[in-house]
Amino acid sequence: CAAAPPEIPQSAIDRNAAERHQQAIASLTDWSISGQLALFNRVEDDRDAVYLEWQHAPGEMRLRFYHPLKGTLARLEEDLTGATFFDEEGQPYYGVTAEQLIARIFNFQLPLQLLSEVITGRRPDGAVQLSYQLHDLDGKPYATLNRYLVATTSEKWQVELSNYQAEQSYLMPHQLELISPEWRIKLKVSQWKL
Amino acid sequence: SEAKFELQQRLAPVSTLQADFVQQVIDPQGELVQELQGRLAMARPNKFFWQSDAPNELVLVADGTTLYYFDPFVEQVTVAEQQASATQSPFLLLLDGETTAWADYEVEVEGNSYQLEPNAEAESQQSLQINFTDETLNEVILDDGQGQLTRIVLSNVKTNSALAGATFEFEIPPGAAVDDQRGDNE
Repeated sequence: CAAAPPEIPQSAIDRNAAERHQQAIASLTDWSISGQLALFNRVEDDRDAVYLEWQHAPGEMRLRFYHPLKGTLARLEEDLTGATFFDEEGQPYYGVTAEQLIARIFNFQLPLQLLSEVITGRRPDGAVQLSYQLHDLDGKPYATLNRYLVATTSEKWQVELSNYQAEQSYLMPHQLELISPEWRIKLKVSQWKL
Repeated sequence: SEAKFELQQRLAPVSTLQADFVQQVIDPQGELVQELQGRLAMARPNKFFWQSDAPNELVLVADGTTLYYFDPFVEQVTVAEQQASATQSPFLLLLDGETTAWADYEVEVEGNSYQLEPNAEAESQQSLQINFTDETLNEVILDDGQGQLTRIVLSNVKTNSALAGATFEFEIPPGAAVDDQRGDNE
């Protein structure tokens, strides 16, 4: 397939092309993806992976973790009233947020909130050292975000987005990496539903 | 049961089998959530090879004692005792008519379709449906009881042809981490 467009630092980017893309995806609050998540513990060199389906709407998210041959492994739901984790037997565990539940059950900080913000290619507040890729969509230049740094309350993350492809009228990333001193999180999106 | 014996008898004449496969995962909402294509090969009673095509090149090889599973996305090869890995693929059950894993299932038959229901102690709680067309194994369906269905449909099935020994040998790709789980659960 065609090589990925070259990476362009923020200073050189055509501001309109960057804004044009951010405005296009700003309205994307309802989306769902299916794909695969890989978690690498960089300190203990341990890793794990799981297939997932993720439906997202304002104030709501539903995730189903599965294995093609072992079936549904777990489900995770969060809405404005709180979060619930269902294990393989369907046993529920309750919490305030999905992120807290995952941390409690797997003692691992999966930054679900940050993931849900960055996966669409949106520029999160406080993102620095941004670099872009230029695409052409319907004859107009769009600059998609492909690398930047952003901090959450607990961690500093390097974010890398790649394999942008047109999905209906949007340019969506199909590969995402979040890298911190302790963790490397890879998310491969095999299907976008917008 | 009668049906279990009949299914084992149907598999008995197969010493080797090779086929192309399409594997589709249907989610609880009935949506196709994943589709893989590739090739598989069996040399009964204990050798199995399974590889999916790009862009998801997954490889699973059982060489009789050890099972290797390579996922390039995770950049890792998992190595496990074959006996302890029955849930890695339904074909591992079909490989060996005598394996103890058969005791985990109650079997019923309707024509060319065998329904395998796991009993309470079964390690995998997936029910299996094994379908034949005439005398050829044609389809395996896994149902996780929570709405996920996985259909594996075989085509170009060739049985009892010679298979190169190297088919069931696995080489660890350079740069891949190795997660050796053998001896983990004594």
